[in-house]
Amino acid sequence: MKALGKIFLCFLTFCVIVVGGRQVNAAPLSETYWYDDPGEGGAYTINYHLGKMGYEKQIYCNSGAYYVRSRMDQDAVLAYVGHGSPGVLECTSSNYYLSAYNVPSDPYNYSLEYKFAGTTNKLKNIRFAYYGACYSDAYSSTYGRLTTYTTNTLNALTALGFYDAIDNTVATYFEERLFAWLDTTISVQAARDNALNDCYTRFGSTIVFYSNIWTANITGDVTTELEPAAYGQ
Amino acid sequence: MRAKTLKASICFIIPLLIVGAFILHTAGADTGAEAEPIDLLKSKQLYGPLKLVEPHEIDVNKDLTYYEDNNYRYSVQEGGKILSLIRLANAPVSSEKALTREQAVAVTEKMITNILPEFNSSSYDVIVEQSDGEDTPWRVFHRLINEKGIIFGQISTFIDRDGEVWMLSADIYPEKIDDNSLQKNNMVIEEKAIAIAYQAVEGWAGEQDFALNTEDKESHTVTASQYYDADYSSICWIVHIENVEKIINPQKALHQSFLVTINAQTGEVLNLSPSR
Repeated sequence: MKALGKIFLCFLTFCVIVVGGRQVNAAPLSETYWYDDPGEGGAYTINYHLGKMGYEKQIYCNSGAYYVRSRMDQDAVLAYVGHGSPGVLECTSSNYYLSAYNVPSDPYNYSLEYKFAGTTNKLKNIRFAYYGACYSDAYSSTYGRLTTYTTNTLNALTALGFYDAIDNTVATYFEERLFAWLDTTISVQAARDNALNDCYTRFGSTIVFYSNIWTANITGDVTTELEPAAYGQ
Repeated sequence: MRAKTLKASICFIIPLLIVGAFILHTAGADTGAEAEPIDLLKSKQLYGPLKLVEPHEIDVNKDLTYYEDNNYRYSVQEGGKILSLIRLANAPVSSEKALTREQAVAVTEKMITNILPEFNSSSYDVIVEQSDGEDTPWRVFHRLINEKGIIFGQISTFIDRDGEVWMLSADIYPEKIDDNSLQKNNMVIEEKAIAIAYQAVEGWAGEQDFALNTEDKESHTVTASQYYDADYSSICWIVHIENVEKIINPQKALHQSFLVTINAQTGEVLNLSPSR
């Protein structure tokens, strides 16, 4: 009986070491979300580069706003490819959407404010939040402004959004190039500028102008790099 | 004896100097007339010496040549025309200050003149955009446009919060402005282009799982512009339809925009892309 107890104890110790070791060595998590409407955009290229940079990459299609929000504080990198409105990520797989401010009168609203504003860790784990959606950097007096709320209020290191409606074709190319450049160990700001320049080369200045991709704006620390893979602050 | 030698030397040296100076001046003038923008930039050394650098392995256009000085990386076309510049991450910071609109335009035009010596601001329409009052990044667009309103490219300049030019892209076709062959068979007028664009959007919506309200045209914002498209070597229409209601289900509706490009000669829809 004693021997059995010893074996059990050894097994338990082994489990603790293995699980604990895995926790310590686990790569920072990146999660990329995309939706059937408007389509995958550059989501798989983003996910590929994040894996190459050393993140534990996860990609999801049609996740609801509640699910995205429930995972955000564990992410080192969050990438959203989908529809948006000022202050809101639409998450078009359901009627619910993700906003910056809490709007109790709106039954379809899951907000960052409600979930994270009162927490100690807030979104400090996030090194980079990429909001690849229309108006993701625009301010709404009802729903807030996602980028600044993510960085300035919830303490994520850096966020990138767009302050106007963006064209899906050009945005797809932009985000593919953005993460390709981030994969060369340059800052978010330098990667954005190189990606924009690539859009000019590919589509020409007139299409890029009307695509509004140039409304890409960074909040937080513009010098953040994603490589080597790491969490935020 | 010494005085004579001195005089002879002076008589010999002075004409030699004059001839030398003339030759140098003429040669300098020739260089100035024929020098390409990248050569001029090399000689000016605005941000330190310019050195040739290898293309980055992920650079899109491998046919370009790349140069760097202390502040910028330049992409240069064969022949020496500078297409773009991107600020280097380790570039020295001159003075971190937010710019006014006028200052942003002045900084932009100074930078354009550095890389396009023939730049004349009076030939361009200037569009200046800012994201919001707090962050103050400026986006300045110099649009080359002819008397008929056809766009022949644009110089796009991005100035960030620190007041520095971070990116400039020059995509202009001044040599095409007087090319009458480009404009003589353009049969599609603006109203027709808009009608074609709506037809294309309705066709696209018919293949989707949602309803698109294209009937309520008064609620849409529609702009149509003609531009020179280098890929098609022709004049095209770009029609931007904004604020179209998309009804996903009885509880959920979005507002979506569409970009439609149309060949101005044939009316063929070259591309249709919805917004996110």
